[in-house]
Amino acid sequence: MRSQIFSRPLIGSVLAMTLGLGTGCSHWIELAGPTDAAPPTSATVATDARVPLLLETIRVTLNGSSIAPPTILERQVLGAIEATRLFSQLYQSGYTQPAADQARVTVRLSIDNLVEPHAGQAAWRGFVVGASMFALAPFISLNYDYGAEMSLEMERWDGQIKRYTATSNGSAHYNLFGASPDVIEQLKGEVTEACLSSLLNQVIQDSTFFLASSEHSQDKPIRFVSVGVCHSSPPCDPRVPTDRRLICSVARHKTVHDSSEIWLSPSLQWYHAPYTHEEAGVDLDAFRQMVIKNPQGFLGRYGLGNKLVQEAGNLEEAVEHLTIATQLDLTHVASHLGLGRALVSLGRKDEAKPILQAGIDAARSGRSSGGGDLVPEMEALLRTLG
Amino acid sequence: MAALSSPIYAADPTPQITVGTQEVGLTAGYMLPHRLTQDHTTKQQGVALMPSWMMTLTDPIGDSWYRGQVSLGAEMVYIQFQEPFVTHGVGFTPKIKYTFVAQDRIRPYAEFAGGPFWTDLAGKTPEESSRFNFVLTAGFGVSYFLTDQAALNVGYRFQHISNGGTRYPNLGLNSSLPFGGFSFFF
Amino acid sequence: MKIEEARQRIESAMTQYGAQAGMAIDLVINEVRSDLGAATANELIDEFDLELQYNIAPLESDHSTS
Repeated sequence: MRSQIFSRPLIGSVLAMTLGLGTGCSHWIELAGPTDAAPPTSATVATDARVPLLLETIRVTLNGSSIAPPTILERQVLGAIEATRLFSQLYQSGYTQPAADQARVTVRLSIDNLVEPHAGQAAWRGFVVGASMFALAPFISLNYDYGAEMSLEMERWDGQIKRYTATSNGSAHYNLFGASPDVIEQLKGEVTEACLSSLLNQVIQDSTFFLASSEHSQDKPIRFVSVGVCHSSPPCDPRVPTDRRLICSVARHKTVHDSSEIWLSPSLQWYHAPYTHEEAGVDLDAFRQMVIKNPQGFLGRYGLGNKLVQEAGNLEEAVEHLTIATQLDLTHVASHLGLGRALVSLGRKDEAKPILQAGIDAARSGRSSGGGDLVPEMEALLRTLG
Repeated sequence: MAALSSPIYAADPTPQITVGTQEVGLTAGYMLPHRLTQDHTTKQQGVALMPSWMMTLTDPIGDSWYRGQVSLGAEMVYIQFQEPFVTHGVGFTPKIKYTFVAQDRIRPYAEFAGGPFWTDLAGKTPEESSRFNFVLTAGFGVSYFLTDQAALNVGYRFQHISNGGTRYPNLGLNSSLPFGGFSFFF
Repeated sequence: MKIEEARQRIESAMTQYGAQAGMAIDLVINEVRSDLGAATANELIDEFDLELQYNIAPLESDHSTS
């Protein structure tokens, strides 16, 4: 009799608590679309026409009160701008600046964050959940609203200004045991990214406004790059012009990479892109040390020569090293291509032709054990030399 | 001339408690009786042990000294009555707490809890006749954050134990419970 | 590049440049990947323990644009 009196309420309480704990762990996020839901835009622009961008200020407010821009937000903004590839280099106020006489685009970004945590509602609903011994936990959801309004002012080198705005908002819904700081952070990240994407899409639509006109020499091939809003998962798919190739370098260990224009053979497609110019210098030094240690080592000469070409460094020096590399390995196709490119960039077309032809012959004859995929590119480059 | 030395600033542990932050704690106290009416004759005393879990429901609300956060959770209550008899009591109480966050390391709070409570003291005292009861608790305390994730708590609670009128007599037992404990936030 | 040639180049780089051979070996691995595929490149990375010695991580799926 006593066991019956105590077991039923006890069992009922345990079941209620188990139900509450087990099923009240869910959460989900709803995003409202940005106000200007235009389809993603992309364009192909001449690489030489791109100018650097200077991020002058980021002003952030939270429910109308100014706050210091969070570091993670700064990095998100910089990464999104850099991923468009519309600008040749990225500078930020307070760090290295572009040369005073260099044409550039200056950017001022303003972000207004609106937070509605529904605190009163959460407190009352929490009280009800507690009073129900958590049995109502799976049925009562709590809400957190977050919105962002961004305005971007872009000033061209000649003083002309364009302004863009975008808005995005979303809500996080969660049951009691599904609450977590990560849910709120995820909501904020998604809203910010949606707003940034919308903003930069508008910038891409006006991409010609931010390009400097450039006169192209008949001898110099025109290099192109595809620009567009790139979402969080790298790499961006580069467009391949018919007879020229610019390949997006992807940093293997880092997600933000220097946007300097590069020439790469496909065999170096996944080369580590330096994160900063300082790191590029470190890599060059490493190859220089190899050359000093072993002047007749193929890898040191080839690596240093190609690195100089990638970083738009001293092309005369690159020619010197790549010439030795092609002499050390007569059948290495990629070094012939790199040397050919460097000579073409220096305007030494007559010297480039036999180099490129030798590389093509090595690949076609089978003396080379690889690099066959470089032949079309070499042939195309050879055709442009007349 | 006195030399001026630059002050040395130690890192201040400012707890970053937001929506979804969980708190696990352990509190211990000693129950002291309050005989509020002439009909109350029992002087129950004993040690109380209370492990708890809480989750923060809101970001800081308000702008002035009352700026604070609401947390919801639950607590197990174990009491070993040493007076008038050695007996035991155990209960489960959902709890709601409002923590004042105007300061960084020292955070006062007010709390309220209530839930079922079983004790074999009842039936041996004139105030309570059934072993199954309810316990209502209201109190306040102060949390002192040693790091941004760990805090020491001290405070006071007033407890009322009764069976909610399910059986008579039901005068209820009232007591004060000064306590101390610690909490860990994650 | 054939795999034997790649092995010789990696061994040569390790002998000649020691701890500073990472950049050179990376060049070889990239060429192997381009010519023979990521699986072969990963075999070489395992064979010479390049991840531990030179922080050259195994490659993911090919993203060739050719």
